[in-house]
Amino acid sequence: MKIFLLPLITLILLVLQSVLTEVIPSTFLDGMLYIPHWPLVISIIVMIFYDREHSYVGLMNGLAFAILTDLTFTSILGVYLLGYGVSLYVIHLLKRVLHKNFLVSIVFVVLGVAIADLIIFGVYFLIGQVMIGFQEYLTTRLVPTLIVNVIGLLILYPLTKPMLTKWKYELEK
Amino acid sequence: MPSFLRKRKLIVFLLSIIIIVSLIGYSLRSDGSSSVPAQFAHDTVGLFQSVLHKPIGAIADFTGSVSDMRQVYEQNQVLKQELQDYKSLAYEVNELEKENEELRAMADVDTTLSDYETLNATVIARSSERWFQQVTINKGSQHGVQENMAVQTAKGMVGKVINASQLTSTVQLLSGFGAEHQVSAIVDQNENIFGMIEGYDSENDQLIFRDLSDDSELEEGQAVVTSGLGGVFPRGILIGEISSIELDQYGLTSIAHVEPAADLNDINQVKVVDRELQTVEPSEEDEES
Repeated sequence: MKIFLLPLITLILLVLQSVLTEVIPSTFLDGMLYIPHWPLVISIIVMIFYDREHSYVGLMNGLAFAILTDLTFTSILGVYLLGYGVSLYVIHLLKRVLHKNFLVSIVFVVLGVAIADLIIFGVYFLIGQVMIGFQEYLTTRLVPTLIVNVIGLLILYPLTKPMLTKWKYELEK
Repeated sequence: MPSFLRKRKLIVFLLSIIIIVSLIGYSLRSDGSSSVPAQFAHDTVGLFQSVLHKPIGAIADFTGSVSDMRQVYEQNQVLKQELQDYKSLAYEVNELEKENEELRAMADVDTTLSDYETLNATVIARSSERWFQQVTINKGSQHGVQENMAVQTAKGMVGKVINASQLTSTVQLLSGFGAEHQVSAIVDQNENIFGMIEGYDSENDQLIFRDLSDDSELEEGQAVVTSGLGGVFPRGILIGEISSIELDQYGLTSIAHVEPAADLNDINQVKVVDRELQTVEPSEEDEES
């Protein structure tokens, strides 16, 4: 039952991404903005390597931290909930089809973050919070965001995967 | 996917759509949530943020100071010169302040729009998604921060408090100001020109100042400051400098692009400005009561 450590790890990631955003200068490259979605990334890893066919630990974790992100970092509730929820559910459906290895987890993170970020952009665009066009969004935000989150995966994967498989093994024993 | 359309999943799916739509609708109407659970979430996350901010900030400061070290000698020379000028200026300011106080005493004016007290705070985190330009500071309503107070750095105004929890507060930066957060502003040393800061042009990182006065005397290089007439901010907080002027789309009023005085991407220490003259409550309070 060490899986209860998971919310703590996710909380630290959530806090870390906001503190790093403050400390590190916002634009390394001219006009490029990268948005870390590390709680989503770790939820995807949990989904692949811990969840069984009918358990939803990763999904619940992702949804809980989506609500927390909505509460603390944005003024509009429910947008992250929708984005993370849909993206994690798609991953949940897809993971039955594909093998569980490193390359697949990269594919899942790229896909999941892209779905979540596109939904968040779409909703903000509909309610008038965002004014930039789709083309500009693609080049200045989506691509750097995907790169940053894959980097996040590269750091998190070796740290969490052995732990999660061990927990899963202990659970099944 | 036939399993997707099974009854139970369909119900869950529809329910969650309804919940999300109502959540979005609720938060669009209520303009910022400061309910007890929201405050609790803010403070808990804020606690972790301030704990983590210290070591990470220290590392960032250290790397920053190493790169600063190279220019220290030249800067020192320039600063010494400026210090000389500063001394005479400080003396002059003292004299003027004294004179101002005496004159006010003679005219029986207690508090004016430009009187304010400040409260120092440190920025501990920034909204990691950049659609909302918000930062978190480590002072909350326990320390006397209230919603709608102006926030400035040493260089100029950076934004306003939109959400004050017990121990932390959320600040909306000028770069995220839209139609719902307008600032009443005037051009420094020219009382005839008044208008509104009504948005931010993210393409060239400039604020948009709409001139509402009839005879337009806008010029490039003029300083734009808060007017204090919006009801919450004190008078005379520097917002920025006019960099270009154009007519609006109907050709009736002129619009100036204002370069913000403060660097909105690199904010560490801020001052929360508490106006001494009593604040008029914003109008949405009236609707509720």
